[in-house]
Amino acid sequence: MSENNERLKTLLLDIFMMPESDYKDGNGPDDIENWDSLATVSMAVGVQEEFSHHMTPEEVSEIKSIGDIKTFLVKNGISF
Amino acid sequence: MMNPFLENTLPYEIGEKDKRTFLFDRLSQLEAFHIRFCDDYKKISQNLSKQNLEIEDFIYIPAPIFKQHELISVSKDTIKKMINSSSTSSNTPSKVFFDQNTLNLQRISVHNLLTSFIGAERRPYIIFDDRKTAQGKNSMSARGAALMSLMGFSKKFFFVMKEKNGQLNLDMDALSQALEYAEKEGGFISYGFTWILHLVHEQLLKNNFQFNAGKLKNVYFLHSGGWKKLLDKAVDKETYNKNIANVWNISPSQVVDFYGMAELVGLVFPDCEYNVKHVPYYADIIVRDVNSFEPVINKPGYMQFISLLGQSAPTHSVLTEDIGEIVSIDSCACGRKGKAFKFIGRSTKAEVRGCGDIYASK
Repeated sequence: MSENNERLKTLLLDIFMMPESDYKDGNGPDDIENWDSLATVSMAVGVQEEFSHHMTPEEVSEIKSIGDIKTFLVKNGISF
Repeated sequence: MMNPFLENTLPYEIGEKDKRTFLFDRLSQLEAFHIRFCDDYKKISQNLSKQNLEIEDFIYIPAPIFKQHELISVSKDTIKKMINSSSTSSNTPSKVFFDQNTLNLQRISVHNLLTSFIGAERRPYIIFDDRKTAQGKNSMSARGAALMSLMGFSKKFFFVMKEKNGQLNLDMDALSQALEYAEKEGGFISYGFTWILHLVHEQLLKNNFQFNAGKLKNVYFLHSGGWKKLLDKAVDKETYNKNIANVWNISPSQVVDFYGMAELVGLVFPDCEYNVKHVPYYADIIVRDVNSFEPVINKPGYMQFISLLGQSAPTHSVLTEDIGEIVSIDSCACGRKGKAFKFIGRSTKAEVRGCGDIYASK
């Protein structure tokens, strides 16, 4: 697993308070119990702090899965 | 679905005459949509139907109907969130349903409306509430929704109260941490439910807490929620604003009251610097005489709100139990066009509402 993937995983396990087994690209709010609106905002703040990339409210509203967070980061030059 | 927003148009820049033309056509479409896709609304409207010649002619739904019926105009499996309005003496909250489209409209609207009052800059956000208030996967209280509505302005957020045994207590460590960050960032915004913010500031004043936020940029204390308990304690708006401003060494005008309710999807009404509230071009207010229900201006009455944002449920024309008064049209000195109104209070004829949370009654 890449270093960036490890960083994102650590961040999301903390924010969503989820078991490691839930860290899958296809998983989103329907699969992760604690992924609610507040957790989505926490995720956006966390991504900004960890990867220095700010998500606009529109970008945040398009995040439907962990894979989408990675796609956002890849678009901003973070490799996975 | 209909796009209620005009490109490159600020919320308050269309004058009354042009706005009425814009609203009328779209409102007609929206009413037809809800009649077609919401069975309960269709039944209600059949009994009330009349020809719409003016905006004032459109059917309005009394807000309590959202307590009795789950009104939805889109497929149920597309519903993403349900907001519970303020609870009432009957303990039956309204339920307002949102699909993704309406959630997006709500987000854009609230952001654009508040930007007109507090600026668009993202700042540290200090929340006088417990984190739990904003948690909830598919549903949320109106109080939670209100505090979440400011998240678009937040660079980083801090909940500075903790609930224990049903009581909210200020977490001074969390507040200190938040203020340390806010000082580094050079400003902050803050939100609390009106009554909670009052209790917090009573405590801060008692403890001689002072913070010089006057040296920071763009500091605003926003609050929403009922005034009944405060008025019972003879705390009027001026005193309320002064109490908060004194603790933080800011101007009372930086304490901003905004009116909103779950049924008014995506509409918030902050006070302008002349202490009146304004309606954006994609919405309208009609004040109705408490006896005749005829539209009135410069006279208190029930407030009815029209909105093009009400798309997943028929919230496009709602008669509230709140009393207000239209005080000017296109002429407020703040420069915002359209109708300006004052919120006066809850109707004495209405059932008592508890402002959505148990703290309101403490």
